[in-house]
Amino acid sequence: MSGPVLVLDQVTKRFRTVAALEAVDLQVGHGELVAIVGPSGCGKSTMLRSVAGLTTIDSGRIVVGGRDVAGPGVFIPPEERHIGVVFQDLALFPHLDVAGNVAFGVPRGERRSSRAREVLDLVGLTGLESRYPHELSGGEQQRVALARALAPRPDVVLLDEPFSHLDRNLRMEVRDHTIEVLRAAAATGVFVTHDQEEAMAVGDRVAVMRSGRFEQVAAPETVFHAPVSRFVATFLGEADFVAGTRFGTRVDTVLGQLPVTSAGTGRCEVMLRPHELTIDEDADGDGIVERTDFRGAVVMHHVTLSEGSRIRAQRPHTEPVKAGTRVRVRPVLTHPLVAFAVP
Amino acid sequence: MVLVVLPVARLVEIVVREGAGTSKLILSSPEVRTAAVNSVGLSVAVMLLAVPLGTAMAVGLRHSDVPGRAFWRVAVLLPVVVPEFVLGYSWTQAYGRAGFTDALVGVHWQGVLGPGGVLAVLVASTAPVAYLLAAVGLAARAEPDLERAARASGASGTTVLRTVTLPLLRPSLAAASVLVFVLSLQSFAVPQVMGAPAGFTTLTTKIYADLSFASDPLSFVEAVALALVLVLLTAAVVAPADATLSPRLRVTRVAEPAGAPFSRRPSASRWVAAGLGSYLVVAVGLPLLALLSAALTRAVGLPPRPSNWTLDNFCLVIDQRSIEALGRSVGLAVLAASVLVVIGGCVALLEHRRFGRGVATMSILTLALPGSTLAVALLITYGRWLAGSLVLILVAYLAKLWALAHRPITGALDRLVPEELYAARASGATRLTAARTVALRPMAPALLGAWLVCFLTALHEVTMSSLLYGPGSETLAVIVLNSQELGRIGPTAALSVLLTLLMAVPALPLWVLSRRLRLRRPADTVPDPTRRENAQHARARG
Repeated sequence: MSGPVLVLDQVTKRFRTVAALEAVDLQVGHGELVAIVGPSGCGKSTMLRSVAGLTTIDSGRIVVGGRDVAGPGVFIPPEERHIGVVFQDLALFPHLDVAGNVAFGVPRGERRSSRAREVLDLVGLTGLESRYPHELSGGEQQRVALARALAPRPDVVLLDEPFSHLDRNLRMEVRDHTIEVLRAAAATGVFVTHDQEEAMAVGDRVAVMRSGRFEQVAAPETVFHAPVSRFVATFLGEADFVAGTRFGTRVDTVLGQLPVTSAGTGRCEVMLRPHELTIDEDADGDGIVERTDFRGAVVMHHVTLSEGSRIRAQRPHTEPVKAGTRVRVRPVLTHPLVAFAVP
Repeated sequence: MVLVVLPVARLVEIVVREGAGTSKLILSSPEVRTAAVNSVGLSVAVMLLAVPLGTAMAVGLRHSDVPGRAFWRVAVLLPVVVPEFVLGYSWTQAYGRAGFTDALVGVHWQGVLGPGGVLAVLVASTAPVAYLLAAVGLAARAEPDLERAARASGASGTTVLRTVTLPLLRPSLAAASVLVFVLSLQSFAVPQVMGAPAGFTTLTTKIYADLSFASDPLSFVEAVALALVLVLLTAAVVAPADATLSPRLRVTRVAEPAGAPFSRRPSASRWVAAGLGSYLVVAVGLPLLALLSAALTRAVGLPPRPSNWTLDNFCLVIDQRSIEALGRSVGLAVLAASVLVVIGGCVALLEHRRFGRGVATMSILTLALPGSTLAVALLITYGRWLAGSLVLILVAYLAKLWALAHRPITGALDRLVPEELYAARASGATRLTAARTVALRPMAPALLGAWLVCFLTALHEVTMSSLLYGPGSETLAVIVLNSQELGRIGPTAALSVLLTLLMAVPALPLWVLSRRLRLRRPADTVPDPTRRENAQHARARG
């Protein structure tokens, strides 16, 4: 199929004076999975609801499957938008069994039970057709919700924090399964989450949202390694900043000269992630380990440098450095770093 | 349970002592059979009309875009505050011959005195009950997300209503049907005021007639037998319903107030408001206006014009007797409500600990026990010492209104967050201090609500009072009823207006106070950031 399946064009939505969405642009291609991530209150759920038709927009345009569903003078009700939604609380119909839930949205013309069976097979729930939602485990309920969203063959599937009610271990497993199913169904999906790790694991692209705007929309690797702003850098993973002076593509810092991706001059801050730094015990070093966090495979060391800035560095759990030790901090770089100009 | 079990046992004993022959004779008499058929038929008809009406109001008022929704939500409950026999009497004044509409536009409804009128007024007075149950059911069971899910799956608004909302409401609607049926079966004042003049008898009016006007011993036994028939009919409906429904009603989830359901076409909302408005005008507004006009008009049959207005009727009825009765009514109601709230609170606490559901079921049964039956039973058991005294009426109120106090109190107790009590204990409060400082405050609206419901119900109670009163123990409601039976239209209307005002005076400030007392808990007891986000949006939205 050619062209994007879902288009948001300058979509704006205000609640009284607060802008929940501010001129949002997004294009999602066929079979693509975009993860929307942002802190709570950033507008990501509002965006999803606008696409689903569960709320109106103030200006801009939303296109689903080549058809305008919202825009100036246009509001297609949710039932005619050809979308599937997996709700945060799943919202399974408690009075219908699994088959009834899944077949709910399948048009009358079709053989509904056979389509339901087909989708249940896809999500791996064959044999549970006549169970009721309260008789299922959390993971199974999750699969029913997914099956219900997929059954009517929607143009776009919207997932609103679908795993937030599951505990951590189950969440990983269910998440992987959901992605598999979405890929198998060649579904186009938009996935909202506040969990950065989840966003990067799930999305073909990650859209980082802040105060109703997209800060960056790009592949997970790009947003992680080449964030466009300090916000994106700190929101996706752990990041520290070291001040320095830029000469072309090199920056002079307390940690020595560091290569950066963008050329320039003047004062700037270089982003360093904990895995890009290591520490060695050294009585003449210019850092002191303030405290350590044990994280299983690695130990995170919080280090204060002589000029006052604080950075984090990780070491294997077999070689931790005790708090209070004087250390030398050493960058371990595989690629140039990102620098942000200091205003 | 000396209040209930013993008296009912005495009823059974009397019927057994009289022998099967007498009972058979009574039960096979055509009059009794007619009364029974009328009672059941009337109750079924009321149920079939009031439940859909109440449900429609609940569904219509659910959407936040109905203009003046807060007002309508209170307004649909108005018929509950007006004593039902006052409502019935108002209808006869509004739509009967020489009534309000007859005087104004020359239209009157011949059947307003008779089964049709009884049916209409009972529907109007029980529809709010159905509305309340349906509204609670909607809030607790039909979460907005379910409807959103259905809409997103391609169902239109009406399809959602048919396939999702109403099926989810099924247990609530069944409960409402049972309650409305039982209330209609027990209703005495409306059939007495509107049915009796047209020769339409029900079991309750027959019991009243047997006890008040016949001196023949057989008619007393007949009253006792009818009282038992009434209990059996009630039990036949309530027992299976309680068994099948109560577990299903109990698994309700607490609704997340996240986001209002769908916005609709504005025209739909306007229709809802218009429909409700005209319904309320016909069911309550016009009749009460007619009542007021009858109370203010110099003589029956004069058109309701200012030149014919007078306060004579009020002066006439405000005499020694009715002022004393007023004092008795208020005193009884205050006493009954206070005792009930205290006892209800203690029992609810005990029950929470040990007895489990036993007491709860018992209290529901007393509510289902028809007032006529209870009155006859109490008269037989304690009449020797207490006949015609206020104490007997108080005992009857306590027994009958028990469940009204019990329900909201246990409900509030269930909603207490145990962690808050634990937190209080952990911070060093003794058990009693914790209960007083942490539990009492959130329970205050429920306690006040329970008191208010008991007070109002006791104030306009007439079924039992009319059977139990004696010289010097009439309540105001009984005086209104007697005055109506004597055919004194002006004074009856004046008394009715007074009684209604009497209900409204304490009801309004207390209602406002109970709303003020309602606590707002932090919405996000679950530490989930997205939930907070939704709540913020919902708040911002409206």
